[in-house]
Amino acid sequence: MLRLKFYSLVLLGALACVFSLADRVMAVDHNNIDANRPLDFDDAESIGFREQAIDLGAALTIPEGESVGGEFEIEYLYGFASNTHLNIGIDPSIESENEETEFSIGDLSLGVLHNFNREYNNTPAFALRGDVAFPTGNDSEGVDFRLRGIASKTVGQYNRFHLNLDTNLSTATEENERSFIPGVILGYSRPIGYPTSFTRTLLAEVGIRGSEVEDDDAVVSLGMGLRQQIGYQSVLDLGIQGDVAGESGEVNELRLVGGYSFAF
Amino acid sequence: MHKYLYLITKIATNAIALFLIATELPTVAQSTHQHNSEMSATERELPPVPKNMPKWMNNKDKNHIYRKRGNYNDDIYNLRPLALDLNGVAVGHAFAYEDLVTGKAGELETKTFEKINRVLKNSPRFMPDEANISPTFGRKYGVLEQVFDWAHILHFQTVDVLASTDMTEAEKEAEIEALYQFYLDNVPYAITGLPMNMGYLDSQPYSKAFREQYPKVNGLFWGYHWLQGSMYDLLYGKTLEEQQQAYEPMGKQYREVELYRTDRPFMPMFAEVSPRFAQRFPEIANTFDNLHMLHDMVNDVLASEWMSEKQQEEQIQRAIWLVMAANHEGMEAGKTYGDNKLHDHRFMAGMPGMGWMGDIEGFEHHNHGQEINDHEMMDSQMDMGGNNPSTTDSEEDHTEHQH
Repeated sequence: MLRLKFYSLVLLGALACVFSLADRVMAVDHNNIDANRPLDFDDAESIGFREQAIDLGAALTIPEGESVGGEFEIEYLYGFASNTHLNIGIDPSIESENEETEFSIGDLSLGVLHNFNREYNNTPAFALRGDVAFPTGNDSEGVDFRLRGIASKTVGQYNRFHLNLDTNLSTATEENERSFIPGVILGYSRPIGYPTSFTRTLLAEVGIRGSEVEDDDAVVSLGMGLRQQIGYQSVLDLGIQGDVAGESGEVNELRLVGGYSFAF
Repeated sequence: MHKYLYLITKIATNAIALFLIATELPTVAQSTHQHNSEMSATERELPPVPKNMPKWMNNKDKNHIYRKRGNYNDDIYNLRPLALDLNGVAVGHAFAYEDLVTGKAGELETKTFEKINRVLKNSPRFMPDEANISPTFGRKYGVLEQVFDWAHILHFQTVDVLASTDMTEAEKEAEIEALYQFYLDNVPYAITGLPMNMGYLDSQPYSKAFREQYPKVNGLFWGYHWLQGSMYDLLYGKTLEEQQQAYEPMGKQYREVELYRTDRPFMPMFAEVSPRFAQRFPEIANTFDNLHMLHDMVNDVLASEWMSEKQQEEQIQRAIWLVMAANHEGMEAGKTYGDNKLHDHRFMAGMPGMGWMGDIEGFEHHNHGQEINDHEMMDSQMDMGGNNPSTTDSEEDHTEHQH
């Protein structure tokens, strides 16, 4: 328990430092959407060439019939080439099991997103993102890969849809677990407040992914969120996500997500 | 294994179906207004788009480039009233462009004007992203958006430097020069820093359409240009306290008078409103004048409903190319190249009071009939590379034209 308190304090201290340093740095555009900020989908745009960004996130997970847990995410992004960025992140977590609370530093992930084209006329913007997650967290095994195809397309004047097609591959799985899990997310974004306010983007998503357990049905997830510019150079995001398991329609996990992003 | 296949098929089918449903809905109003293309063929002849333009003039990339790093970035907020007025400026062009390409041109002097004016009177606390406000325009004119964005970054950063309280005057001057070099070096679509013949650029077959049809909105835009030019001498070589004091009356004049003037014969020129800065940094002053002229040309093209959409796209592409640095490579200020008015760079930059520069004697550019021949001549030269070597010293030219 003491260990948990120590880790939590370190994490909170680090976040406080970053928030205070971020006062004079450039914001990530509230209308440019990265996965987990706050929902699971990406839009097809990379960050700017030579731009650097830090995304910080925290989520409260409320699994059905289990104790509440906490997840965190710290991600660094760098636009190392035109229309391309890399991301490096870790996802520390706090979990309660059998009346014991455990802190894990989480897996280290490394990824690249490349945007092939901007959206023009009726052609969507297309991008490809590849990620590798290394098993640096507690009890984590094997390397996980994910390849994500992204298409972003405006429908109407300000409604924008983002189709994410995922293939996930795990190299270490238990018996009865799938090593290959496909998934798809349809994301939606729309700036809100025009013509008087220009600081807010509404987000929503519906996703379907294969279950990790072989005999289980696909999992449908829903989410809604908001990205809000809160300083003249910083963006806050808030979201709520829920999983609907299989055909029974039973909610088995609720996630409340919050985050903060800035670039420099 | 068949369970995998079933799962993949199910997911892919659902995804494709959802995306198709979404994308089959009509993308709003890719210019729903009616163009009278029959009139265009008979009434006015348009200059051809030069052939063999560089590939990047048709690029389909996003090409977002991050600004130059510096501890002065965003220091314009030291002078908060000016920063807020500039935030308001960012919205106007975007609203107007979006309305022009979504069939709302008829509302420009009423609803659009009110919409823009409301923002100007209640300026956003943060700089809005113009691309977010005008997505339809951006999908149609993505390269133009890149040109504007990149020049606007130069605008913002030079002002940030001037508003910095951490830099000496010498450091500011050096950084402004470095910013201009950064602007030139990082993209192929930088606007030329040469003085251009504004009389020529403002004498295209479509010229003046916007100011004639939409004088109130055009007045706002030229009011913006007045502020964007005037602020440089207001900030240049002054302490923050002096800048704050100076902006009180200037901001009042901008908000109460300059925005609503409809009696200007031409857009405010940089050397008129910031002669000291223009004298010191003539290329930057010229770049901003050329940027503002490009804004006017685009406005005029979009306001010319006698053109078809295709013709508008072509003329906007041509307008971009006319002011690109790449189209004037190797040329110098103070010289003219042959009798091609596009490459008439004799108008010395940084000279106070140049204002509406008109044209050079001997060119009947105001006659559009005559203009066609000039365009043909110019375009054939551009196709050949543009840089005809028959240069003339500006002094000789001025002497020649003083009789």
